[in-house]
Amino acid sequence: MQGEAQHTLLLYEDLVQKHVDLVFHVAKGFCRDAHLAEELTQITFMKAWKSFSKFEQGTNFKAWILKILRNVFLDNQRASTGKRSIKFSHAHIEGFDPEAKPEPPRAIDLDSREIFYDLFGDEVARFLHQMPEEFRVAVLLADVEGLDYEEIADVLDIPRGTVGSRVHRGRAILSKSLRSYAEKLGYLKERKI
Amino acid sequence: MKCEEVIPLLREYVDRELGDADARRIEEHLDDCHECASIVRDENELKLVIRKHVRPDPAPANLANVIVRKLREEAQPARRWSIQRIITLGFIASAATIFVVFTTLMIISNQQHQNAMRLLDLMIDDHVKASNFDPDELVDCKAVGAEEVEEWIRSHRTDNFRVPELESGNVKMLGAKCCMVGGREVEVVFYEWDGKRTSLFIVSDEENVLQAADPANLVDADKAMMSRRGFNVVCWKRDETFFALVTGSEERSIVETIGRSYN
Ligand SMILES: [Zn+2]
Ligand SMILES: [Zn+2]
Repeated sequence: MQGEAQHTLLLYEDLVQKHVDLVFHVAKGFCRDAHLAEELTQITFMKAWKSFSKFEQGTNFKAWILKILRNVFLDNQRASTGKRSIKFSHAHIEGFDPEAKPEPPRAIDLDSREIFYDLFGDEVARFLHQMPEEFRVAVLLADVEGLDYEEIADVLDIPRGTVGSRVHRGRAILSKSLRSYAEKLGYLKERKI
Repeated sequence: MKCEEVIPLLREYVDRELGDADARRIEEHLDDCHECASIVRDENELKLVIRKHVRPDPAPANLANVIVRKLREEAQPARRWSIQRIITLGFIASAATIFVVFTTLMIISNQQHQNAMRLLDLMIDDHVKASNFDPDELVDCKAVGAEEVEEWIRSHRTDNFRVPELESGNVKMLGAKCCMVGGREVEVVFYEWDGKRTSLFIVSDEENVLQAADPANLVDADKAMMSRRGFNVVCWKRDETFFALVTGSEERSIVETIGRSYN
């Protein structure tokens, strides 16, 4: 191998090591299956290598690789459609009424604030996992992976304004799920009016 | 700034997506406004809770190494020409041809897929609109039973089909309406299902355009369900007729109801 090519490969391998967790985690966010996520991660890096010459050094590798991941995920979804199985997605979400209009932001009662946020552990991840894909992935990218709106818009191929509303709506759904869970456990009283 | 002006900007403010000037104006308001300040605090705390409790699982330990090994295998220097290599190249050439044809087909089917998804979105829009109507005002044909509705719909169209019988105590047929969705004539049957409004869209699809709508290839009685914009959308195709059911009901209820009559 020529020196130049060798150098590029080493550079790319370094990027693989640095971003493998990110890609794997977001892949899992997309497909909710660890085995498939592993596969998607491999395909993504192999595919990205083929067009690595088109990647401009010094620009945002994170957004670039995640965008490829999203395409790999969509291709995979389309390809697995040949299977004659009924696919049922997860639409039953605690405290989530799909017909409800998105609510404007509002404050939580002061008296319940402290316990409310101390209550949760695994539930947060569980409720996030159950959310519809568009909101799940938006919240994951924004709040867990720390991408900004611009990057998320680029990765998901949606307008920047849509990013804001998906992230926000996702958080609202999550918050609602957590609240109704807390109410069920008797930690939270019904909202006083 | 007034609260009404501030509130729509809080979302971007919390995510540090506002410009400095706007952010400063918001902060001035927050200093004096308890209500808006607590919205910001709640959103920030929620962000913190998410960050704290949703810990990304690391990738499997050897995944990066597996990828690196594959990359190196692919980057192997070319070997000297040999008969075997020529045969291999012939293989690659024909594979490439197949790939090009396949990719072209994929692009076409991708386009179809997008068209179909657009149509499904329009259906969801109509469903949302219809949900706000009194059923008596909404329907062209009030349901007395599936047969009457079927007969009424048949009088509108040429394809031969049956209105699915949704067998469940929780489903009540309200009636049917004829309308245009995305430039197509579509019949809609409305139901009350688990107390929620449900719309069944019936579309003629001789050109098979809508076949691409689903994630599970709709052939014959195969059904596909996807979660889209907060609804469960179940699609299936019978002969030349495409059905799309838009519902707020839960998957379990859907499996029980249509799973039984269509498996
Ligand atoms: Zn489920
Ligand atoms: Zn205010």
